[in-house]
Amino acid sequence: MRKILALIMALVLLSFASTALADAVKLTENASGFDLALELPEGATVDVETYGDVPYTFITYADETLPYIYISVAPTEEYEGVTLATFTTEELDVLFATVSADLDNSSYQMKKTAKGYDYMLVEDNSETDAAVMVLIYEGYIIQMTVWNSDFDVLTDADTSTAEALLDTLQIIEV
Amino acid sequence: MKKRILALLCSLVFLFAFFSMSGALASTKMYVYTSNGKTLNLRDYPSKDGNIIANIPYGAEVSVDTGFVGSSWSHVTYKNKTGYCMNRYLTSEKPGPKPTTSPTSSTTLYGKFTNCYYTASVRPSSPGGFVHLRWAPSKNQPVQRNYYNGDQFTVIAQNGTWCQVYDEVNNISGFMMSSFLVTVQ
Repeated sequence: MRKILALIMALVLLSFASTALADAVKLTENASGFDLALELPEGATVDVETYGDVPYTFITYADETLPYIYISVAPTEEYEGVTLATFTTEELDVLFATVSADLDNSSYQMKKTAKGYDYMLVEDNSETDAAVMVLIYEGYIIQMTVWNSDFDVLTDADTSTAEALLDTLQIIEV
Repeated sequence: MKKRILALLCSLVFLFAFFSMSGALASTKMYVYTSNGKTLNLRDYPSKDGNIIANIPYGAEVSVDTGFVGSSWSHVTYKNKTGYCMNRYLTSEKPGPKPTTSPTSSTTLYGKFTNCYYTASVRPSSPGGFVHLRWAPSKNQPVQRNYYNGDQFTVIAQNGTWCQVYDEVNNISGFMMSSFLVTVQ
């Protein structure tokens, strides 16, 4: 019951977020035991859609030249009790293979957000371009995906836009 | 004599009803499939908060109670232990060897499609991921749009690697890798 209430609270917050100028806004909340907060740029709106119990938060910038982004928080049994920081190279390669299974000519690099969270940046370097940023936290996969309108090739600036947003990510224990 | 025949008929009807019910509450065989080849948790409650009561190896056969309907969890028996597993790590076909560390390579398979007609739902490779609907059956082909966990299609042709699907809601058709689709019973 508390989880349902928490989800409703999150949705209410999100509905306010879509109309207000963005400050630090709780972007998504489910049964995970933690909240996510992102600092949205001015004029950005959010829309939450749930697919198979997984909330996907779609972020739309006021500037239409900027890419589309979503962030999802999904439970995983495969990565229970582990963090990216402790992954071996082989384990990273397996995660990359999973995340990039529908991408063509992709590569990955490990990075850290401004607030210190490790993440895997997966970039598709083909014409079917997309980029995915993956964090693992307390048995949940937090995934940010970025792509362009009509799936135009992502520029470095597009990917940087998403990474700048991810830099503001804060995971708040509840 | 008539009473005995009547009793026999009643018994037959009872037995028929019993076995019909048993069928309705039947279980089905499924297999563990994890993308990293590791074990799957069997929990005592259909939630990540549930205690882990067993670790089921990759590829192991489990018995799934078809009477339990959950969007994310299945009621599972494995080696006399009964609990709950997340649906996305169960598959109806015995999986091959454990996944390798190499990403799936590009394929260009335009031929050998056969017609079919069934409903399938999207299961992205990562739990909060997406699947591309493409204009043609190859990973280097342009994308029409993204689909997400649980979105449903009608599959109208397939060749083992790719499915040609029809999205009735948006009235568009395209191609999606069959490994990201699960047949809807």
